[in-house]
Amino acid sequence: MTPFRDLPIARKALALGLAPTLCSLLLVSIASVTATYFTARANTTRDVGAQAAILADSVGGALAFDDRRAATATLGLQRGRPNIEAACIFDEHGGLFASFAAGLDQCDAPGTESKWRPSRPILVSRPIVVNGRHLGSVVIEGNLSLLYAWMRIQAFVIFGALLGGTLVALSLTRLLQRAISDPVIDLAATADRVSRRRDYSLRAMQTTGDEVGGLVLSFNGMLDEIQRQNEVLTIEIAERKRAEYLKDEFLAAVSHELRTPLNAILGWLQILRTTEGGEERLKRALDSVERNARSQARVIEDLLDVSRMATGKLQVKMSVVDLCAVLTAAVDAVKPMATVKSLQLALDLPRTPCLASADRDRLQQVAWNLLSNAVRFTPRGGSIQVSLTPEGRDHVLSVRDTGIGIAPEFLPFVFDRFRQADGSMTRQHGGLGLGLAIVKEVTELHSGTVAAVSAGLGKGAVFIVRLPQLVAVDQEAVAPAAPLPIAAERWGSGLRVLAVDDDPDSLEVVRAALTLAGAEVRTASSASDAIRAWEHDPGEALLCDLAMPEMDGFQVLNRIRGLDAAAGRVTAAVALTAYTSDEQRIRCLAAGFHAHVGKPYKFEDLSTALGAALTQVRSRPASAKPVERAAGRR
Amino acid sequence: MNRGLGSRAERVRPDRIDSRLRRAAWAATHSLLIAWLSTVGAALARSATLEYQVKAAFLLSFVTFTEWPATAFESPSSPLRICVIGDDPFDGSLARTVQAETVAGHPVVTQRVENGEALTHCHALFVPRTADARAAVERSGVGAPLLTVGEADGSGRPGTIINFAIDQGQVRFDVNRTAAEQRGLRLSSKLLRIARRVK
Repeated sequence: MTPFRDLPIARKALALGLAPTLCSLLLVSIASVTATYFTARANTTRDVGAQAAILADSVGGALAFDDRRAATATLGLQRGRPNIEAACIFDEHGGLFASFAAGLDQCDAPGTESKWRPSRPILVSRPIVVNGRHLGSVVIEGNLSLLYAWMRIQAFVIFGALLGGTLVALSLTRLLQRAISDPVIDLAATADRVSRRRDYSLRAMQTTGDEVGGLVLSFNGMLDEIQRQNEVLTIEIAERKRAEYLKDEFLAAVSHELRTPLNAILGWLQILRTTEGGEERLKRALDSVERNARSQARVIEDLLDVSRMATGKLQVKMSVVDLCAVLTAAVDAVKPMATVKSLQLALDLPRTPCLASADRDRLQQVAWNLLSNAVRFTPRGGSIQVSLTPEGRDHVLSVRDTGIGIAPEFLPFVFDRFRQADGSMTRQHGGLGLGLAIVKEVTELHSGTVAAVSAGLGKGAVFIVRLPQLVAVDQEAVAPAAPLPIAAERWGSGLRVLAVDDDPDSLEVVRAALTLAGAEVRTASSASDAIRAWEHDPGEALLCDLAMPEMDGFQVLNRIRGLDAAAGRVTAAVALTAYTSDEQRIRCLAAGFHAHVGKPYKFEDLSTALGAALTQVRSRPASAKPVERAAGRR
Repeated sequence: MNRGLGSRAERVRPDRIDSRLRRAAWAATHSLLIAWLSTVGAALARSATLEYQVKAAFLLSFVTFTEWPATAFESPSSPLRICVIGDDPFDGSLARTVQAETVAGHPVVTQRVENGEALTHCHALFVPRTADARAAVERSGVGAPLLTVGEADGSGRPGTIINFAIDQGQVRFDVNRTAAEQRGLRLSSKLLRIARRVK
């Protein structure tokens, strides 16, 4: 027997319709029967009472004149009435004068304590009074046979009504419960289908305007949401797959771009080791190795830039920059490449000062990227035009080429990272596709814009960079107030320098670089060695690697600054490290180094840095900053 | 019946004893006869008493079923008199019957009246068989509200409203409605219903 709450809705609704109806019908029946019984009983009693009164009136004469015959005759008229059991006349002394009895029992005398008998539920007595004289009394005992007969009829009628009412309620409820249960059942069926088939495109139909209708709408809304989310997820998954694919492609390209120069470098070294050759071949080998090493260095730098861009750590250091000088330098840098391909290179600079607030190195990078792209993608005999034009409050740098152009469908994506129009193995133009992304990021960091325009494949392209002009032009501020570094010639011969590096190759290189610059070089391959050497015999300048085991370059500097303070002088210190980020650079300078050189470095850069450090020491000896930070920190 | 008288009288026939015996026999017979007669008389007297008991009850019933005009009574609670003229045949049974009875609030009393007395204070008048009441009745006034009850033979004396009769051993009565109307009395239909004859 299923509990009520588990019955189907149709059954529940049926019960809902039937139960109250049946209850009310029953209640009404019971009430009706009860009311009828009591009313009829009262009526019968009244009726019998009236009967008794009439009888009392009629037999007064017979009783007064002792006419039993007449009295009995009068009583006998009661025979026709089915509700009279017995009728008796008593005289004033309580003696029975005349009687009539339908059954066997006689009536009790008035005043006697008679028990109410079920067969004679009605007992009525009336005094016989004539003219104020009490002659006797009439006692009538009645039954409820009429009432019971009437109630039997009523019971039949009520039963019939109950039956009829139940049938009517049943059919009506059956009809009406559909209005409630059908929408719910339909919704349940739809939900079941959706769930089983996982088909979220199905929708339930709203047929009513009540809460179930609202439920249907909500249900459909939820399905809409599920579908939408599914679509979004599908798109996201597709995009992620695409991104993964692009990254895989990119990694492959990176690997390729890094290994290709390595192959050249290692290959030439093998050639030099194994075969005999002359100066000519040696020169060629050196050129190739240098070229490939620099190319690899650029790839690494680009990768690092992209990594910085991805984490939002790409920063620009603003200073006043002469754009014309930057462009000129860039054009000079790509001239050799252009000449090889017989490309025409034209530079158009304005006569007005082309100053901007910018990061010089980064702008250099931008210019170089755009120009090298132009050279790369323009076939032999083409031309490249570079121009700088003031336009309103902006500088407009334009690089126009007659190269392979950009297809219209690729144009919107040309500045995206890792994007190359042709990612296949047979692609003609190498590189990682990072150049333009870096150009865009750097330009935007300068609050500028960059755009690419192309008429289509084979029709060349123009890249336009807009940079805001410098608002207040201060001619004096053009040149930074940094003192020119002392050239190597002015060091004085035999500048005593201590170089510290735990990597033997690096140490060898720095010794060679400094000796070439005319310095007298001592080396130490650990921090403790360096400190011992300095304590024993301090030099004039320190070139120190930062990352060393047990004690780092900062600690070395600390110790030497301590000795400096005791001796009342300041040593020129240059940090020489592969940590080249801006934060590292600032850290070194803050720690007390006068200059920072990043590995790998050009020899001339090393000399320049050392010169700058010496300049600082010699021009402002009191500017040596004590190192406050504790050692051992990176 | 005493049968022994005759048999005893026949046994004492011899002559010598004749005169004394004859006198004794006659005295005995006389006294026996008287005794017998008195028994019968007593019986008769007893049945006569029964008749008059019934008639007394009837009389009470008559006054119960009769309506007098309001002027017949001094006050609503003044007594209702049943007068008996001449010899009283009821021997107290009428008095006993009406004792403590009231009709329409009037206590019922009985009274004996002599021939020739005034009848104005009577409401009902019983004229026994033996009385010569005609004159008395006439003297009471033709229209006076007096319920006259008689027990004359036949249909009764004229002017008698209710007349007793013995019919098949039962006490019955005849009613003269006209006489009642003449006297301003209303007789209940119940009374009329029981009556043997109604005029």
